[in-house]
Amino acid sequence: MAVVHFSTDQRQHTGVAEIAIEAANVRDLVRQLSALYPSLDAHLVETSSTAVAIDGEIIPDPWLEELTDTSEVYLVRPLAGG
Amino acid sequence: MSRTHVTCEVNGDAVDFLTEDGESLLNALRDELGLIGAKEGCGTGDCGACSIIMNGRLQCSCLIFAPEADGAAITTCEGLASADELHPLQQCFLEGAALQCGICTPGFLIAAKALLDENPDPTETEVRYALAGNLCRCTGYDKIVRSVLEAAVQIRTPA
Amino acid sequence: MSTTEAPANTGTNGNGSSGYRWVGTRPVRHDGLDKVAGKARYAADLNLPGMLYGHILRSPHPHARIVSIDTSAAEAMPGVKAVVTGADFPEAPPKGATRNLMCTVIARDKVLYSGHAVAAVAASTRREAKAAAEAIEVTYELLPHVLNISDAMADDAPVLHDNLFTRGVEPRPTEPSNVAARTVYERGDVEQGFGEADIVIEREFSTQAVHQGYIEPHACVVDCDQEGKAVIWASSQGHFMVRSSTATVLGWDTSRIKVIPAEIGGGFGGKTTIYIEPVAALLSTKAGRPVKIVMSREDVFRATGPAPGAIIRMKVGARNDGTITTAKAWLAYENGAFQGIAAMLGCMCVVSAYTLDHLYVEGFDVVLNRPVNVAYRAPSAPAAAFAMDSVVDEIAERVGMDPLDLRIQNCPSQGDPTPYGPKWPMIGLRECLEAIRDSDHYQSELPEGQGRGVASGFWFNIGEASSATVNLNENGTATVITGSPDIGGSRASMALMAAEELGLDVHLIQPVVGDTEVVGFTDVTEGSRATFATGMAVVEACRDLKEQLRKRAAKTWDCDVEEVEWVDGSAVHGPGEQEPLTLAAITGNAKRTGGPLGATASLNARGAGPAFSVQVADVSVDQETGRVTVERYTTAQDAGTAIHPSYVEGQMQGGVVQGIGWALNEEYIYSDDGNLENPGFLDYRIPVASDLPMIETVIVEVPNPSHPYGVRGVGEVGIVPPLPVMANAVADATGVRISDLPLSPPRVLEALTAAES
Repeated sequence: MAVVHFSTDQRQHTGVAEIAIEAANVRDLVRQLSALYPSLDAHLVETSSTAVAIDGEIIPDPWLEELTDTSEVYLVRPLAGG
Repeated sequence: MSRTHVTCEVNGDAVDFLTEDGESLLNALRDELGLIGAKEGCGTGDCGACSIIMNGRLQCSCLIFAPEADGAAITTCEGLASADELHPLQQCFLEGAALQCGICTPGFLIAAKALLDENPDPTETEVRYALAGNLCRCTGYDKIVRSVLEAAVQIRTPA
Repeated sequence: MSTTEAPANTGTNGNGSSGYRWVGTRPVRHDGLDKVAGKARYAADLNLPGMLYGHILRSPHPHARIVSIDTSAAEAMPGVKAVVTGADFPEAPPKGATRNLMCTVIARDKVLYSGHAVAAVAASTRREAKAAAEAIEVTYELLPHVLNISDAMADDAPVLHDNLFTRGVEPRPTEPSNVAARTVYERGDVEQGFGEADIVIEREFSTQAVHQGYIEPHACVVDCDQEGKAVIWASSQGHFMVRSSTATVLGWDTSRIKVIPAEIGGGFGGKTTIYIEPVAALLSTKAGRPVKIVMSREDVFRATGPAPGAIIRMKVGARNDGTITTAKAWLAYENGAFQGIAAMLGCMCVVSAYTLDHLYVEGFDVVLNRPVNVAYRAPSAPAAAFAMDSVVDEIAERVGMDPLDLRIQNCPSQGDPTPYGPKWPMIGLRECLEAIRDSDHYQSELPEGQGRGVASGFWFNIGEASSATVNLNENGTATVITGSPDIGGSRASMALMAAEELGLDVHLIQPVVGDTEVVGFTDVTEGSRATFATGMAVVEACRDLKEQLRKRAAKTWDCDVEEVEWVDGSAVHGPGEQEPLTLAAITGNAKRTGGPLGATASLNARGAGPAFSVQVADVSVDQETGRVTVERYTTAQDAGTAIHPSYVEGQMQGGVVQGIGWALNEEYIYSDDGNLENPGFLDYRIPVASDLPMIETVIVEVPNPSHPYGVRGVGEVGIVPPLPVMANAVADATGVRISDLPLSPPRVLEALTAAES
């Protein structure tokens, strides 16, 4: 199962530092997170207002990215560059 | 509105144009003569992007009123190359990657030409001070200075 | 073939030794001739028949309610063809990024900074437009303003937006404030970490807002027709962004807008947004004529950019053996008039060049009455690195270690956690640190009276969406069309990658930047992404073409495609029964084998590898004037693979010099009444040639496994280390550590005098 790690801010909504979720891809994962923690704003991933880091790579608009049993997932804000 | 008739020589050609009093020579070159090589980066003589050589002197064309050019001989970036060959400065800038965005390049070429016309064998320090009136935000000047020094060598010792 | 050797004394790598034929060489750039001949067309160079000039009226006040705008006098003036105000634009939503964009382009009910656009005029001449704009009568109700972080965060501060409630604080505040967001990253237990540390150093740092300082002011020409279509010629870092942003601000469908990219005269992040295009579009619609708007330099300073100033408090703990264990950081970044993510980025970057057991990083994004932040090369990272790497230098001094050895001892590697959580992919920080340690510069003896400083810097790099179309011409040449504006030599990089793939001479390839109707969607040139992501699309299209070329050869030879290989620009028959067919032979015969050959690739690039740079400088400090002179400078940066080493060096050198400017001289200076006092290059002093030595470069190449040629973006990270490098070098030269930038002569002199007494 993929493990989602929560930041300090996010823990105020989840109450836990991490959770293991069986999900095939990011879309599936985000929908499960939204159901578990409605106030977490995980649904913002679906509008690219939130990005996801999977195994170290920050992906600004994830959707069908596949997750494996060893995936480490973080919800992060999208970046901007110069 | 009254307009002044200005006659001058630009890059070896006799030209004339009408201009409003108070218009800059930079705008006249760009709008009346279509010579877009000189750029306006600041309009206050601080960046050198509008550099021209007028009557043998390096000038910021944004600080000159167009009617002041009457009777003058002017060289712009467009006047550096011949029909079949680039000026050594232009060739060295290309080969030395001395430009990135390129907006300041015409001004640097003109300022460098003015330097080499006066001093064909400048030191690195002399190049740096001669070009201190031209701003480049992309390159950090390293490759510009190297390219001017290389062009000086080529001009002194033609192949 | 027209390649040039590396100029002496620049670069120790990137010499084409990687086994590639084209990647890593230094051909003359394809767009170079136009640029040295003065022919290249930037947006301000375009004139259309019947074109009008637009002029924008800007607020003289930093914070005021717009009570009324009377345009009647302006409309009656000679030459005036159209006047617009905020009321002519669609209503903005109450909050969010769309409101921020719409209200930056033109103010609605309130002006939020001096220089905020209020109204605009189109007239037959520049002077008529300016005179008419100045005749517009705006009645303001002045409001109290805030110009710096401390004032804006105070409990009794005047609030810019009455619907801004701090995000990241639970429960969410019910009172509005100027703190847009709070960000926290933590790991371990910092109090435990400090308790176990042998050395704890605590300092406060400040940096000032600076401008990107591109030499070309923002410019556009917009021609709207009677059917509601608009053609925009604009200088920007992304013409698809110009299209979508203009459409958003005007409430138009994007299909009404075609954007033709002009050459861009520098951006550095500052042209990743728009200011003037929707204004020109509305004026053009009203007037029925093309309208050109060119910003003045003063307006560029007052109303575009800047990069934010910041206040950063660092507390760092280390052991006597030089192991840094713990860091606590408090960061507050200016956002300008609307909320942004500057502090969040600062939080992510501040300790990224170090492994730490314990960290607590807290950041605050603060709005105030200044123009809205825009990205500037590795946004937020320079100030953060200034704080951390200044403290790290003090730790090295305290434990008696070489500052580079200390950084090597504490540097993260693949698999270590980043401060913001995820693990590092393959990174080249250690290699950069070692490259500087082993450099001729660092190994040389420091001249008498000078000081030496080192520092490292990190930036994420970004992938995003890119498209490329590659067409093979009937004579065996290729046209490579991409949607990435060429801001510093990327056309040459695209051509080099296509040359490597197809086996064609790089000068038989014509790289073109296509407009929004000839090439697929491509994101802004930002985040050091063009050569990485758009290059990936070029490679993908070329690989598609190679498959097509093999099939055409198989048809020509009437054999199975599996028997055909593509080698060095020719189809080769495996069994050896046929003479090889060159690319030109296949394209020349293309009509007989199925028609012209072309391929398009569009992708959302993944795997932009993080970038690191390590730099060293020697400086001297004039004890009488406080002037800092950079005597020698060397930068090492991980480029993954240098496609065109000359332009990699150029990015490195340019970034360094911008960072030196930020460290030594540049700053926005506001008067108490909220007006920018130095909106010109005379008083806002960017580095000039005589301020600098040569910038020595060491290209480190740790290939990025996510890119077909191992490319890592090189555009941004170079600006990060110079701030701490300069501060550390000045401290070494004078024995005085200054924690407020810029290190301008008056500030350095003041610090030297204070230290003496």
